Amino acid sequence: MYVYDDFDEKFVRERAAQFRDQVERRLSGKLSEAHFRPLRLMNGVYLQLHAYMLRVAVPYGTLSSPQLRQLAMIATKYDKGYGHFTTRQNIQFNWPKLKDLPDILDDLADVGMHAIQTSGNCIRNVTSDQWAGVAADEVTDPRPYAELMRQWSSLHPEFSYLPRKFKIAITGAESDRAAIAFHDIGIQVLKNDAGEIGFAVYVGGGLGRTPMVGKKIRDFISLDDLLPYLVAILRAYNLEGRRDNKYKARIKILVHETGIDGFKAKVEKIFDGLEKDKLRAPAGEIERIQGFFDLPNYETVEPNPETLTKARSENAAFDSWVKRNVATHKQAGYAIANISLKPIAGIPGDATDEQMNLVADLAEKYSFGEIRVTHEQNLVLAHVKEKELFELWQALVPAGLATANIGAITDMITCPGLDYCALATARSIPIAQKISEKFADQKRQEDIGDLKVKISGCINACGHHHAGHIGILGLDKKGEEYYQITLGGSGDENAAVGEILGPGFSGDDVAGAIDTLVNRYVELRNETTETFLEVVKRVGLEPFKEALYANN
Amino acid sequence: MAKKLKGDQVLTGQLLREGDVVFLTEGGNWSLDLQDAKIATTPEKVEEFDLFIAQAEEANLVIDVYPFVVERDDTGKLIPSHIREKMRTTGPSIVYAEL
Amino acid sequence: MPIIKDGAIIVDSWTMLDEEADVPSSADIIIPLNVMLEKADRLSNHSGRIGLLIGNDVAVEDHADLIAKADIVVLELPAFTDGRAYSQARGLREDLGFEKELRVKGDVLVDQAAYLLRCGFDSFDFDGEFDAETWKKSSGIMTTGYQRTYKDELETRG
Repeated sequence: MYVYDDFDEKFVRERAAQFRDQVERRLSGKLSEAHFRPLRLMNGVYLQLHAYMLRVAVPYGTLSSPQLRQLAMIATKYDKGYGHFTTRQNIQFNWPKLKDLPDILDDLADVGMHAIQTSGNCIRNVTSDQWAGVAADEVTDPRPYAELMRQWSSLHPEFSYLPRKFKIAITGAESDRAAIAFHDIGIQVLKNDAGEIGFAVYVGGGLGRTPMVGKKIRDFISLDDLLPYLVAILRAYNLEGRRDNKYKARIKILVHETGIDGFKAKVEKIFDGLEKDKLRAPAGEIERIQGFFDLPNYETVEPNPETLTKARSENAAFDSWVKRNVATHKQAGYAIANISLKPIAGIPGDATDEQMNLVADLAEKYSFGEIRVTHEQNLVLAHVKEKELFELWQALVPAGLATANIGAITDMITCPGLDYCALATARSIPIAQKISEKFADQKRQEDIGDLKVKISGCINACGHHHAGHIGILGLDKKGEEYYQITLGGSGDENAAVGEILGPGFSGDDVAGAIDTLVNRYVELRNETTETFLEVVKRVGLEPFKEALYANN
Repeated sequence: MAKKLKGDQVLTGQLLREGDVVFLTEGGNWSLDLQDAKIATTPEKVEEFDLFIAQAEEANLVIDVYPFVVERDDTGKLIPSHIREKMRTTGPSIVYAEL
Repeated sequence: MPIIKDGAIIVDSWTMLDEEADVPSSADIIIPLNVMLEKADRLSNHSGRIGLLIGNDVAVEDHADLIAKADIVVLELPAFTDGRAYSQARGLREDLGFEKELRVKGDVLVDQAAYLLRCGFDSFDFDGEFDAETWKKSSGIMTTGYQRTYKDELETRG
């Protein structure tokens, strides 16, 4: 993975010093709250319902063991002993004090980390496929390009006061695990017939109160032109994005109002006028970055070893975990091990300091000291020998980290909701917990198969409910929480926005409603391999509406 | 500006240095406990909150100051009327730091 | 309002004209772009220097000829969160090759100085109070940046 050089190190140290200066001026009263607020947000500091919250950047979701240990240390020393992994592959701490934040940033800088642009109206943490570099279906590893964009977008002098936040995601595989269609800019790495790397570029996707699927603006932009083309898109947006209404300020609205053809014309005009040479990465930079993403020194090991087969046949729980949580690696004899942060009735995405320390140790022992954070709020050890999977699993079980539910109904994306968030209109976590309890039975989960449930506690859609096969949106009706259910959303390469089924439910009734929907699915499916989403696409919403509302 | 909300109101904010939720007391201080809160029972009293909001900004100790509506439960304890303020006053409704 | 250049308050000779005012012939004047577009011929005998005030909604590349003749260009920051002038500045400096003074006027925060300088601004017309000490300390903390900009080009040129 990428390791800071002297320049990166100096940059992050200076940034920490700059924020220390800003905090000092704020505390002394030299800087007003109105002026400080955007500055702290651009450094990932929110004022939440009960306390400040710090969101730390995990660029494209990749962490080293020492970095994860440092996050655990921060959780212990400055917080309440836990952290929360987010849909932008970041981690946030719920209880830091403003006066401690400069020290926390110094501690992060010690391990090459920061909180730059994890909030604010600027370019946010670039996200990517959590299986980048090891996925069997990948054209090429997208992380070097993600790192290039991380550097390019960090404290960008031109694009730090945009109309609204700006999110970029990149994938190198046909199967989209990074939800690129729901990003302000989505990028798919391609190879042309000549074997050259290039990028398909999508623009104007997003969730929030106006969900939209991104539209393609370029089929193939060359590596040389990637940064100039991003400048052209961002400049068109910075100059013409709406600043009169914060709910209409995202680029998706500009693209929608201008039409993709009209918007593309603006971008191409700016692009044509750019002095592109000045905007490209320096010669040799991408090769330098790529050097950090060489595959680790895999050993030659026997694929599908006897020990694995034997352990699976002797231990049903381990077998379930392998089926659900282990994915195919492109290196024979290795596997991708996904660690679920969705224990039954737990808090989705939370990890304690002890769990973080354990995962850091296990990564060093079994996976070249590297950890991935997924946008679905789980962790990944990306290079585990198949013959060591059983050992790994045995170490995960006592820590509550071996839940066999990746991609299953209890593996829900859940925003912090009204338990933490100042913007939320309803709680999300207790809803997820009730659903999780309802579907705790492993056999039933396995029978249901792939089903993505996503829960947001307000219309801003941090829980990606629009992209859930089942989406749940928490709202406020005269001071009481109630929940709207949508069906048929999808965040992958066949991106779709879910449709509202009908009247909402009280918090106590949501899990029962989901149960009803799932039972209806089981009745409707033609064979056990037909997934929930496939059934919704085949039969439409009506049978599900009938099941939910027929008795009312 | 204090909004004209229906019902008795208290004034809340968060400590600048720490972020903790606090409530304005009768004595003009800020307490971590809602039960200590100064209660405005008339529109005039609610309007007086504006003064405290301005003072809080001036003193640079408490930020994000605003009033909300409260009622009393059966035991006479002050409780917020709205779910958001209930959550904010009592803390997360889930068991969070001991997974 | 103080004008800041190289970290200190300066006195400069520019007079900002609004649409109504008559144009004195020898003064150094800054004229709003729309006035300039209407009254360009009346200025043909003007002996003082002429600068342009360009609004945030103007596409600078559409006025390359006028800008090339200007002795100063002033861009506006109506709120410190409104970042349009940053893009206009880079367009002027990097794409149109404008090399004279580029000033930003409005709600300028000391914390934005480094960004503004890197985008090519070299003077600041402050709405608020100016504190030279804070400016010096806070605007100089970041000495590194990942993007090559007009300022870096200038420094390379020496």
